[in-house]
Order: sequence, then C-alpha cells, then structure tokens
Amino acid sequence: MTTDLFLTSLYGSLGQGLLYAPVAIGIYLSLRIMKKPDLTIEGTFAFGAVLAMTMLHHGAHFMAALLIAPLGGAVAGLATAIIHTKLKIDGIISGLLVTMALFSVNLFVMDSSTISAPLDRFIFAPVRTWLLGFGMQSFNALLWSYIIIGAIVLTMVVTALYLLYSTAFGLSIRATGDNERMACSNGINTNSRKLAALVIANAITGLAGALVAQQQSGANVNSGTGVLIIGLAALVMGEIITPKRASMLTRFLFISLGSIIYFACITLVTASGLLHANWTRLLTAVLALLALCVPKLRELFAKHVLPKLRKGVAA
Amino acid sequence: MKKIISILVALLMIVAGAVVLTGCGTETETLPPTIVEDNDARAFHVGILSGGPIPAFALGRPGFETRLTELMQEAGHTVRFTYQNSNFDSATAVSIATTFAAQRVDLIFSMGTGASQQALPVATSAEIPLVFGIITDPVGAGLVTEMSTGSSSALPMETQVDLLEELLGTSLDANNRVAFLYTTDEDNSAASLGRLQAVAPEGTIVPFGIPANGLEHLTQQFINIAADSTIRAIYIPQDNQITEQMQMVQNLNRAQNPGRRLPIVVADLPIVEGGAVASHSVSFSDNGARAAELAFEILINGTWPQTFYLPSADTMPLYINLTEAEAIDFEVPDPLVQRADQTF
Amino acid sequence: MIELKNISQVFDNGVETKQVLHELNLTIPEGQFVSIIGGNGAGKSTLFNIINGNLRPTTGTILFEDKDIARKGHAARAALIARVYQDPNFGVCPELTIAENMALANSRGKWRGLQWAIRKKDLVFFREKLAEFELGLEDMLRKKASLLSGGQRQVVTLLMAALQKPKLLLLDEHTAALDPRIARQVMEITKTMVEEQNITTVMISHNMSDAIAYGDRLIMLNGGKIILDVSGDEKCALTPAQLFAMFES
Repeated sequence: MTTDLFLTSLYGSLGQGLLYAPVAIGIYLSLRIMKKPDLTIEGTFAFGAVLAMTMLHHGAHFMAALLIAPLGGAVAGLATAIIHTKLKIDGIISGLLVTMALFSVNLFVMDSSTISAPLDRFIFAPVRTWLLGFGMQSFNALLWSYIIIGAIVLTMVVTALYLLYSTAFGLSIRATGDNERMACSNGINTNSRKLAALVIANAITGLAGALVAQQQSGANVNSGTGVLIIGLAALVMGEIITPKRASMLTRFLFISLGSIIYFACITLVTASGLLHANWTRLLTAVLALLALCVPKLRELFAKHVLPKLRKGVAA
Repeated sequence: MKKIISILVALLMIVAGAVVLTGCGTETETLPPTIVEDNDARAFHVGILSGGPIPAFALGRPGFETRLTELMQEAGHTVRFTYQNSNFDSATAVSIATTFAAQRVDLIFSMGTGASQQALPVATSAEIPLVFGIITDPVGAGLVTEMSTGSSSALPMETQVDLLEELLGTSLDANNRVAFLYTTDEDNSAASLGRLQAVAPEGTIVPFGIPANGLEHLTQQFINIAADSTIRAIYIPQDNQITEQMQMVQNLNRAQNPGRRLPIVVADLPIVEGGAVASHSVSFSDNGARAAELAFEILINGTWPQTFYLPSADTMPLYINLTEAEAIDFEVPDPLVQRADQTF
Repeated sequence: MIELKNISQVFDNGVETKQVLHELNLTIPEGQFVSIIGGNGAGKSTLFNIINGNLRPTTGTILFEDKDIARKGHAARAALIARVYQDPNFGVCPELTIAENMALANSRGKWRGLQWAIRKKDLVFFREKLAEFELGLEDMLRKKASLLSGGQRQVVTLLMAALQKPKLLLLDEHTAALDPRIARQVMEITKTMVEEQNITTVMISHNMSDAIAYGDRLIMLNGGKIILDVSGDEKCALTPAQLFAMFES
C-alpha cells in the first residue's frame, strides 16, 4: 500500500469514526449506564436518517433536519420506554417492537423505499467548498468535510451529555441504572429516569443517523441495519483503552476514539485487500469479541502468569 | 411443506370465495349488458406480484399490463389486473400468491427472483400458470417448470464488454481495467461478476465489493479505485444496495481528484440519469411486454411455450448521460452518442 | 407521629394464602427509638415494607403525622422515611463515587433538576460529616463506593439516610451482615446519630442484647402479632434470657 493511499484511507476512517461515534455513546448510555441493551438503536438510526433526508428532499435547511432527526429519535426512545416501563414488557422485546414499527413508519415518511436530496443541501457541502477555497485536493476536501462536521457535532454531543450527566437529574439517572433499589429508596422515580435515559440515547442515535445519511447522500429502509454491532464494536474498543478511574467526560472521549480505531482497523484490512468484503462483518464481530475478552485476559494474566514471572525473577 | 401450502390455499379459497361470491352478486347487476354480445369474449383476471418497490419492477408492470391489454383487445377479450407488492418479504409474497389463488386468477405474473420462487409452489398446487419477469437466472432459480415460464432479464455480457471498450476507445487489457462495484452477498451481483469476467479479457474486471448493509465501506472502495491507475472505468451490475444509493456513488466519483473521475457504466437503464455515463441494457418495460406475450399464448391458445425469453443486443436500448460525462470531464465517442436511444 | 391501624397482610400466590400480619396496631410518637425483635416469618420486614411503601397492606390504614399516606408510592415516601437494609449492597451505588452517593441522598425529597449534582460547598459538607466518624472516609470522597468494605458501606448508608433528617428512620438489621467488632462500632455510631438529631427510629434487630441496650421501647413480634411492647424501666430490667424464653413459648 502506498503512503498516499494509506493516508487517504486514514482520513476516510477518521471521518467515519467521528460520524458513528454518537451511536457508540448512545449504546454506552443504555448498555453501561442503564445496564440494559436497547435494540431500538437500529430503528432509531434509520428513522433519523429517513427524517433528515425526507426534509432535505423537500427543501428544508440542514439545521432544521439536524434538529428534527434527534427529536424523532427521542420519540422512538419514548415509545420503547413506555412499552417497557408502563406495559412491563422486556426491554429487548420493546426495542424490537419499536424497530419493527419504525420500518413501516419510515416507508410512510419517505413514501418509497429510498430517498435522496441534492448534495448542496447537505451540511458537508459548505465545509467542502470552504476547504476547496484553500486549494485543498478535491477528494481530501470531501473527506475532511466529514472529519470537521463529525468533530464539531461530536464535541457538542459530548459536552451536552457531560453537562447533563453532571446535574442532579443526570446523577439520578446514573443511580437508577447502577442500583435501582437504592435510587428508589432515595426518592427517585426510577421509571421516569429509565424513560429519560432511553430518550437521550435514542435522540443521539437519531442525530447520528441524520449525519450519516447526508454522508451517504441518501437514506433507505435498511439504513439502520448493522449499526448496532458497529456501535458495540466501537464501544468495546474504546472501553479497553479507557483508563480505569476515568470521569464521564474521559469515557465519552475514549469511546469516540474507539469508534475511530474500529473504522481504521476495518479500513486497513479492506484497503490492503487482505479480506473479501463478505468477511468484514465477521471481522467486526471478532474485533468486538476480542475487545470484550480483554478484561478477562488481563485478569488471567495477573492471576496466573504474573506470579510465575515474579517467582522466576525472585529465584 | 407443499401439503401445508395446499391446505392454506384451500382454507383461503373458502374465505375469499365467500367474499367474492357476495361481491359478484352486486357487480353483475351494474354490468352493462352490451359487453356480453360476443359469445366467445372472455374476461381474464391476472394477479401481478412485485418483489419490491424498485424502479425495475415499477417499469416492468406497465410494460406487461399495456401489452397484455392490447393483445386481449385485438382478440376481442378483456383483462383486469390485481397488483400486490411484497416488499422483499417472503412471508408476504406467499400470502399474496395465496390470495391470488383464492381469487381464482387465471394467471400470476411475478417480478423478482425471490417473489417468484415463493409464489411458484402456491401457483403449482392451485394449478394456476405462473409467468415471471425481470429475473437474471430463471433456470438456476428453478423457475422454469411445467407450470411456469417467463422472460429473463439476463444481460448478454459480451454487450457490456463491447460498450466499455467503445466508451474508453481501447480494448480492455492490463493497463485498461474496469472496477466492478457490487454487494458481495447479493446473488445477482455475484453471478454477474462471474459472467462478465468469463467474457472479458482475463484480469481486466477487478471486483470491489461491499457487504450487505455496508454503505459505510463505499468511501473506502472509491479511495481504493482511485489509487489504482490501471482502472479506467467503473461498472455497476443490477445491485439493489448500490443502485439505490446512486447519488452517493455519483458524489464520491465527482469528488475524486481531476483525472481520477471515472466514467460509470451501469446495468440498469433507469439509473443512468442518476450519475452514470452509459448503459446498454435490458428495457424493463420491454421485458414485461415479452412476458405479456407469453401470458397471452398460455391463456388464449392454451399452448405452453417451449422456452423462456432471453434478451439480445438488438432489443436493448442504449442510454448516454452527457451531463454526467461533462461533469467528470469525460468525452463520449461520437458514434455512441449518435446511436443512443436516449441521451440526458 | 406514625400510626398503623388494623394492618393485615395476606400473601396469595394463587395456590395457598399466608397471613403475615394480623390486624396490627402500632403508634410511634415523635422522637422515639423503637427496637423490634421476632423470629423468622414474624412479619418484621413486611411491616417495614408496608411503612415505606414497598408493599400495599391488604387491609388497614397508615397515618403519618395524621395524614393517610396509603396512596404515596415508595419513591414519594422516601422524602419522609429513610431505610437502611441488612445487605450493604442495597444502600449505595457501587459505580458512583462516595461523593456522588452522598449527593443523591442529600437531594432526597428535593427537586432533581438541572442544577449541578455536587457543588463545592456540598463537598465540604460531606467531608465534615464523614470526618465525624473518624474512619478516614473523608479522604475517599472521590473513590467508587464499590471499594468500601461492608462496614464502611453501612456507615456511609447510615450517614446518607440521616443527611437530610428523615421524619422516620427504618433500620432493617443493618448490622447483621457485619463482623461483631464492626457491628458494635456501627451500632454506637447509630446511637450517637439518632440521639444527636432526635430522629424517630424503628430498628429491627436479631441481637437481643442490642435490642435491650439501644432504644427507648422494645416490641416483640410473633406470628404477625405484637406479643410484647415495653419501655422505660420495665425494658431495662429485661434480660436476653427472658426474651429467649418468650420466643420459645
């Protein structure tokens, strides 16, 4: 692989990583903070993508689209939460039900199975034009527009989440996920906190869907398929590099970094032609599995290998 | 499995039969008596099952309906159509076919491999002839049987190599290669790759695959394509994932650095306008019309066609998109432009 | 202060019914420290669950400061009633820091809005409170609660329960899971805290001598009924041996 191809590929994965990072953070909020997997993510991602693209298609400004998409995601999260907390349906089933329903909602919103809009309406267009003004190479300008928008939106998302989770309200959400009985006996209405957590996670995912749809210049009913495992892989890759005693903010940043590393891994493998495209999903699964195993491997190393090494040194 | 389907068909027939009977009672009263003048005139009912909401099927349907209506009118008969779309869902396809059987349609026209495969057992058990359309490999899909035939949309791949060579003004060789952009796990795309590679000079068709639901890999593939200077053009087969997202393809191609914006040749005529430079391919409405001719043979003459229909180069229209060519600084050779059936 | 009238509790799992409390009447005036003892299945924990709203009684009413609180759910009653459980894991959030845990308790009964969860002055306040125990906990504010030992957790939980002075404090065998030395220490801390702040307290205990030594009043439950209710000199005169004898009868 030439340096040029290597660098361009790296820019590409950096942009992808930043754009998908909010999904990983959304999964973190449900899976790690609330300790409940939320399968609505795939449906919400597609819903955000479809909402944004339909609005852009009908001539709306990208700011409006980026505002409505998270709202749509929030509504989807709310639906899951109500099914889960009020009707007492298992969280995984609730998510599946809403994802299923969103498929039809998406078809209704688009009025077809796929939708696109003129490129100059997308959020990336002005940034790219601006970069081209500096004489940047055509294709690099495209990739850097993804990076810049991805970084700006991610910074806003991370800041907003950090602030929110530092408030008394945010703390009560974290307590609900960590020890529901304790939260309850401290006067926290845990159902309302579960609802809030799902709404927040899905709003972020909807926003990510809206951004990725613009990067992919269109949306369709399958836009969300596979997003959950990508987000999960990104999340666990981030978690293995996160320092043990990290604050919420550091965690968010390392998860974002995990997303970038994940896409870099996938890119390097596919760009070098080592692996047939059919195998990329398996690669994703293996990467996620490896990352998930790391704490266990660390433990085994500390328990069995390290003492022997020490003994050896002492002897 | 067949037994279960037969039972289902029978059950549905009872229910639907009751509905149809009561419905017919009111309908006959409103029918003007003039229609039943000719004793030989018959009214046919054809059920149309579309695999999903994609442009190819959307074009195939009017092609079929128009041609069959035309033929029936000439012969002094009437025909009405019931249209259903299965949205690429196999369970839905089976239930649509079952409803058709219950309505005792005279013939089922199905578009798409999956939908046709799911409809076939129902049609066979209900003894309703099935005519398919817009299918790349009907024999391989097991669709050519005693109860089913139709029109294939399989491209003669030599025509695609001819088009690529004429467009580039050179024969394909080690320095003039073509990127084959496709979804690796779409059967049609993978089959097209094999067939194109078989007729093109060895090593000149380079596959660039992305997985299903893997649009996030498309950017990387364009980076890879741009990095290989022997690649002079991009070929996209009938691949739903990529053709649905043609604007992303167009955007990535147009954004390439000068000199690396490549002419894109597609196997789908309807998407030429969306960002390709040329396509010489099967007209889906024509494909539907051919299926209609087969259906007419079966319904009126009662003869079962010896073979299914296969398109040939002279029946295939040539589309050229000059706007896209200009946008990527590519010059389309004059003879091609002059021969084009449609330019954009 | 709190008045339980004709409380009965029947559990029905569809196969068999089991009456745990029989028309129980109990009034606890403000500022009193009551110890409750009784064998397994006597209905002690059920009583606590009914008081703090985890459980709705089959029949009977609960008056809290002369108001019926039957309609208030568990979370809503938490503003008035604090409870410390036997299991040290119930009282704190292991993933949160000690400061965050205390902040949660500190806003019990208050609106949890978009104000900062922990402000500087809160940290100073928490540090002062923890320092009173002289266990070195004040230097662990930023540490995760999962790093605390069982005894430390119970101390922190106890402190959290009293951080916003509750109208009623329920101690549910809160020293039973600790080793004897630590248990004694925690009991002493409990006593000081309850007396200093004059908190109305009900404590379930397995330990007879504790039940006699601590509190102003002793109640013994058996089979869902109160079989002994003593206070003052009469209570101080009791010996563990006498109590054991009552259990057996």
